[in-house]
Amino acid sequence: MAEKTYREAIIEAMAEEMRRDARVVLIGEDVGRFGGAMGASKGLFDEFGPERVIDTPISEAAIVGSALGMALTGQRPVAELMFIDFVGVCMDQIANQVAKVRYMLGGQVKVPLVIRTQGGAGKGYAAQHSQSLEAWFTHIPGLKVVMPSKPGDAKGLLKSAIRDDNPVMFIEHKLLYNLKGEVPEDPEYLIPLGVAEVKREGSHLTLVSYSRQVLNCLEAAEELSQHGIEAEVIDLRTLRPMDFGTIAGSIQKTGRLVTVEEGYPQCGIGAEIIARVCERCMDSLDMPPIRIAAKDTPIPFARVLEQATIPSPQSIAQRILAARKWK
Amino acid sequence: MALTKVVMPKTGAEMEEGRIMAWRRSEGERVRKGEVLLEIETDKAIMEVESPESGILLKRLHAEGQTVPATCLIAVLGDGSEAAEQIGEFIQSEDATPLPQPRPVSAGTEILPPPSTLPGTGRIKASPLARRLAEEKGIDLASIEGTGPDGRIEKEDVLRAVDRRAAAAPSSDLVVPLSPMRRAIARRVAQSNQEVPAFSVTLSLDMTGALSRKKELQAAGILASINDLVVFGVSRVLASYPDLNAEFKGDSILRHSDINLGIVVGTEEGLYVPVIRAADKLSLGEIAAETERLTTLAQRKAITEKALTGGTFTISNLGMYGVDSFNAVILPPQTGILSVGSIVEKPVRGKNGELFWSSAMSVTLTVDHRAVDGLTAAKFLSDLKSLLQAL
Repeated sequence: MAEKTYREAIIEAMAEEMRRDARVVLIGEDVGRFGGAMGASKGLFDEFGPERVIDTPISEAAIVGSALGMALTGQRPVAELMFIDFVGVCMDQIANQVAKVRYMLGGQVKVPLVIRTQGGAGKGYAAQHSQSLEAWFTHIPGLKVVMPSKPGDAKGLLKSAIRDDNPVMFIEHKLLYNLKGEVPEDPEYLIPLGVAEVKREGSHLTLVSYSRQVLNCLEAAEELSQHGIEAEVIDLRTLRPMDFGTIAGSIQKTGRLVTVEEGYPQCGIGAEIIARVCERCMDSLDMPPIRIAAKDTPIPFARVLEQATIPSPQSIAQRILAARKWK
Repeated sequence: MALTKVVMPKTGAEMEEGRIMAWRRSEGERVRKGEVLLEIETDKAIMEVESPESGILLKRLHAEGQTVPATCLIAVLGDGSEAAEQIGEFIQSEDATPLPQPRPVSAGTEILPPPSTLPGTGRIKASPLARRLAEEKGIDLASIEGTGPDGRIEKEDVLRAVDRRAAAAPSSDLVVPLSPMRRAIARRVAQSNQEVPAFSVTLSLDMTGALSRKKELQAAGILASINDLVVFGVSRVLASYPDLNAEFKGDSILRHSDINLGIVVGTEEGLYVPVIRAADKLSLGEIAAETERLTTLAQRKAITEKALTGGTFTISNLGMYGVDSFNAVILPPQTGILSVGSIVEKPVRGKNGELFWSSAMSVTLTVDHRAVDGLTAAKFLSDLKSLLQAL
């Protein structure tokens, strides 16, 4: 198995699917000659040409609208939105058209459309280029939402998303593109959507997270381990549909739940997980659930403030250590 | 609307306390006057307590399973606009019973029901998992110290308590506190055995005729049981034995003018003795109907205190369970009790030496020797035998 970056894994997933199926096309701002603002489509233009790797003007509404049209007429487009923060411009296309058209036409059409974008803080891009807006999409019936944390998952999940006949929001993290990891070469390496993965086993508490915060959770778990606390770390990988069975199984074992996300706390992913656990696993809880999320504020430009706004391995470990007297 | 109190009712002069069996309404629920708020158990019966007013059940002061003195405040009604302090002051001013002290729990024993549910205030801080485990393992949360934040009881605390219990005593014996009814029974029979010099006389009588009479009645639409026949017989014979329908008063005997027959009804919870009033004035059909009515009420725990008092003589029948004969305990201050056994087919030698089958039933009369002698007891049984055999 080859060691590759998260960026290379994404390019490889798209390249393999474009070779496999001529209906797969990529459309977005600077995805062609330039190779993507994050470099996540480098080489695809040279291999597949301008007919299948399409540069567009700066119009998210046009990108998503065109991609939807292609999906409805037999293509399998991957549309790239440079920053998730720009999604407001095309939210009507996503929420009212992409998510609903198959339902409103009584299933007569399919929408095999992947909207790839990236979010997250950590690069000093300030309040309008650093957000984690995944919760917006998990709220909408008709959309699937995928957020991988490591290169191998990124490849397997993106390939599954492209082969899915329903619209998938595929949200990358801007700090993960250079992360290296094992990436299977197998062109049929597919990870099913809606299946979480236990990234670390432990018996004292369950950390549920996704995307880049999974790495912070794993680091926090190492620190907690030095205090004799063994944390289980669950990577949701897909936020909608959510693999609640894996969470419930872990809660039954540990009795303690901590959610970690880079999005905002109110009505966020952690809020949803905690609600479901309280609804269905109340009798297994030995500690009030802990929700760790970004501070409830716009992401600051200043690096130190930005760091203080989003969860870090240290802040995660501290919150957990302070929650009760651990032996 | 002013606040309204709901008290533990005093259903009879002897009632000192009642146990709360089950709350039918929750705090915050709207109730109408006359609707049932809760069920209580007195030393004689289980009964329902109705809401004295329409309004909102603001506060329940005692948990299920708790015993509360009669006339003490057990709940407060209002219209929902009252402030918490107002309700608190009302409860204070009504001089509610002090919170019962948790009973000491010795290691290795288990107290049912859990004393941990403190009334009013008493929610114990424990995690849901700890609560579930405590229930599963039969651990009383009130007996555990919580080591979590602010003393919250967590899983580990419960498991430690389980370990402690296992280490202290491997026994799984249960200590079950007496219900008020059990306590009343215990008191009465102990008193009887200590105070009453009782003796018993047993006689076997032939029920062959009575059984065919029973069938005839059935054909005529009167459903009478063997027990009804016995009750009927006793009601007719007793008038000739005034000292058996009496109270022993130390230096006198109080002979009752009415013949009120108590019928012992056994239930899972204990004994009820509903009373058939003026039984000597009732026909056999009326006795059967009244017995049926009272027995059903007792079995449904719906019998009133009034129906359980005023008996002058008692009949206990275990015949339907195949018991040959037994000695029931006299219920003081009564002077006699009749124990009825089952009917057994027996070969009997007739006057001319011939053998025939008889449906024999044994009846035992137990009497207070202070009031009644053996001769009287024997005559009573003999009269009863003549009457039942001539039915």
